[in-house]
Amino acid sequence: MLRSLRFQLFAGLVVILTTAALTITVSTRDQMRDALIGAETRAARNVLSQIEMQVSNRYRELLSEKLRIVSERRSALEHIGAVTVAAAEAHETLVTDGIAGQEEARALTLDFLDGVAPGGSVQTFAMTRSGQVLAHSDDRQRGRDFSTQTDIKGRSLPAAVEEDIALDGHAYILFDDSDADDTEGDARDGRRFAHFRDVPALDLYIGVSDRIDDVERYVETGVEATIDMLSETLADVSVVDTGFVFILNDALEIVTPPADWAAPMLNRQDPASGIPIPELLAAAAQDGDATATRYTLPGPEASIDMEAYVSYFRPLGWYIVSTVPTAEINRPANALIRQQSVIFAIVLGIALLLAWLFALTLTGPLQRLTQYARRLPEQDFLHPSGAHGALDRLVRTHSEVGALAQTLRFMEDELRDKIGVLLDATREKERIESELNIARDIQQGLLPKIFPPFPDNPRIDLHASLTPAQHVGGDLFDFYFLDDHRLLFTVGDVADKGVPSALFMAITKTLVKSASGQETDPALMMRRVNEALSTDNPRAMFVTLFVGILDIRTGWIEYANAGQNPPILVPASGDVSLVRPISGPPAGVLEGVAYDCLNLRLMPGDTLMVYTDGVTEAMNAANEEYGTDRLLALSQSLRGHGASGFVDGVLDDVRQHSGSALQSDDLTLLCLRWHNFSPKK
Amino acid sequence: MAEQLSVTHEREGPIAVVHVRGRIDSATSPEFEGQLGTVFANPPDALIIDLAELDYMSSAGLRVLLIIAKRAKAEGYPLVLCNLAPGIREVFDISGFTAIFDIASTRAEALARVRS
Repeated sequence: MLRSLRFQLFAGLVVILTTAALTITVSTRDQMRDALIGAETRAARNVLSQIEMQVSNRYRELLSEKLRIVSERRSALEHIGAVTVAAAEAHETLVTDGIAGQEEARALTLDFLDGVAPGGSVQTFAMTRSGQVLAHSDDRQRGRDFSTQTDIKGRSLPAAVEEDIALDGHAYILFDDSDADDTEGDARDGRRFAHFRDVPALDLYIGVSDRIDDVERYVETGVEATIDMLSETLADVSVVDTGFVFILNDALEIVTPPADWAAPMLNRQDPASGIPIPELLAAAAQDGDATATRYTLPGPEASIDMEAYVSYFRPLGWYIVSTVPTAEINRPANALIRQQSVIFAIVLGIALLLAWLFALTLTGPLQRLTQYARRLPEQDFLHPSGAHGALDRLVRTHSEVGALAQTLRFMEDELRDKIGVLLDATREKERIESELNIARDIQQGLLPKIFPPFPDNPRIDLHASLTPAQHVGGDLFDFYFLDDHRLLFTVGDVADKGVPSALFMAITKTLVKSASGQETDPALMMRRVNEALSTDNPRAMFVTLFVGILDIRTGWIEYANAGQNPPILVPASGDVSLVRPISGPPAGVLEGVAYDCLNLRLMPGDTLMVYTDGVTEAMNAANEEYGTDRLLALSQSLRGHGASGFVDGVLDDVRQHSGSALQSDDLTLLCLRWHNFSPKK
Repeated sequence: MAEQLSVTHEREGPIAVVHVRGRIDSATSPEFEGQLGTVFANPPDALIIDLAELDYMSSAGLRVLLIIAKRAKAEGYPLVLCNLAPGIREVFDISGFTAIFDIASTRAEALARVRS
């Protein structure tokens, strides 16, 4: 399964698709998260900066209003101051004109000042250089010593006046004129703003002052109104979702309230750092509003992680805090990522399904091809198959698999043809084989088969054997009585082997039989056979032939040898010998040959062995011939055996020599032992 | 088994000399016959078959020689065998082929005989 092409293909596609999906997801996920979180935090920061701007605008309005009031007051003070100074200068001219003495003029000025009623909270007064108040529009402050009074810069009032006049010609001094009794509405109450001028001729500073507490109170009222307005506005502002904006002052007290749900938890400590949350937020303002400060609201059930952007509005000492639960900031990003993951999972699922189908489509034909090939052995190859069905459809795809299918189809067709040819050849071979078997039976039928052939005749002990190298052979032997006393025996060997030789052998045997009926002399018989065979013999077939006639009464043999191996004479006593003389060339070689008639005489107990060259030329595996010498020696040792024993002995020895080597030639033996016994009566 | 049979032939003027080496038996006789057929394709004035290196000849080989002899006779040019080894000579003697073929003892003698 794991090694199947289909699985490998599928696995490859899975790896590619998954890698692509993961790469895209991972690479876009962080960017997406950052972008979405960035948007959310920007929203939180935007709220913060809007509020900040609102506060700052409002405050600027208040300030300019304050400035306007102050400058109004100031010009009023300067106006009154100018009037009083003008009066003082008038008195001064009295001195310079000599109309009055300095003391007199000074008294006049002081009287004047005592009598001035500037109205409202404005006070006019004259002060000596050392700060002794000589005249004052408020009776209660006449005689007061300003040298103990300090301005808001901490200088002694007369010194401050002298210093500023020396610089600018006049002095604006701000000082706190609260007295110990702190009675509301009395003359010395709250901060005052004083304008001083120098009247050198009278050796006096003339001052005009007005309280400015109310101006500050006006600003405070404005701020309170702003706070009220902000409280209302901020209650409606929500950052992201449940996030909110609130304001703390320098004392870390609530200026505008936070959202109701968070209010109870805001005064607690941040669990991670152990710092009270307001302190933590105030410290965060140092970082500016660019970075988020993280803290945790310790809730009764679950703590809530928060992010805050804090900005400090210095003029009012306010910490403006825009804060939102972290989860809300991350929520859109998380939601988008979750959605993206789901989409990816679905797309991946569809892609994998398609990949599986693709793998199926690609490998399906291969599988069909395999199935087809597996079923091939079940087919009957003896009949040509017309259509290949599935195979033909695969071939039409013109793909690589199609090419393979075509090859398979070609192979199958070829196989059918070859099997047909092989079958025909086998049938033909079987037919030839069977014909050859019949031919062998016929050929074997031509040869004498009954041994001993003449059991009733004690003079003749005859045995013969023919072993063809192939189905049929070219060797022959025969024997029969021509009359009561004369036994004809013949051994022949047609040149070459096989069917042509077998036909020639059959002809020869018949010719010998026929010739023996017409002639008495074996040489003449041979001549007849030769004439018959050599006429019209285009293939130059010939047969070496021995024809002998034994007179069983005397042991004399008349014979003709046409090229046959010299027979072996095994005398009853003495050494074996070859019967070398020949009568002429093999029969069939040459027309008109006159064969010599030869003779030899057997003594009682002598054996004559006639054999074909299949005996002496029998080969062993080493290609060594059996040889005439070995046959002679064996014959010597077999002396005394009957014809049957002799033939068997020679055959055994030849087989022993040949061993596993193929018999190369027909092998024929004929043994004739003659006894001079009288026939039984 | 070594090379069974090798037949080479050369020309000495109009005389073809065939040299036979190895064995001629049932298995190799068709080749022997075929090789000699190439000699007849370009008819010589005379044919000498040198059997000096012939190791063995069976009756099948004799049959081929007989075919050659008949053909030479029919086409009217002499055929002389020469350099017969003793074993081969014996086969010729035994089978009576000695009487049928013109056999010279050496190639020179064979050449002299065909030229005369």
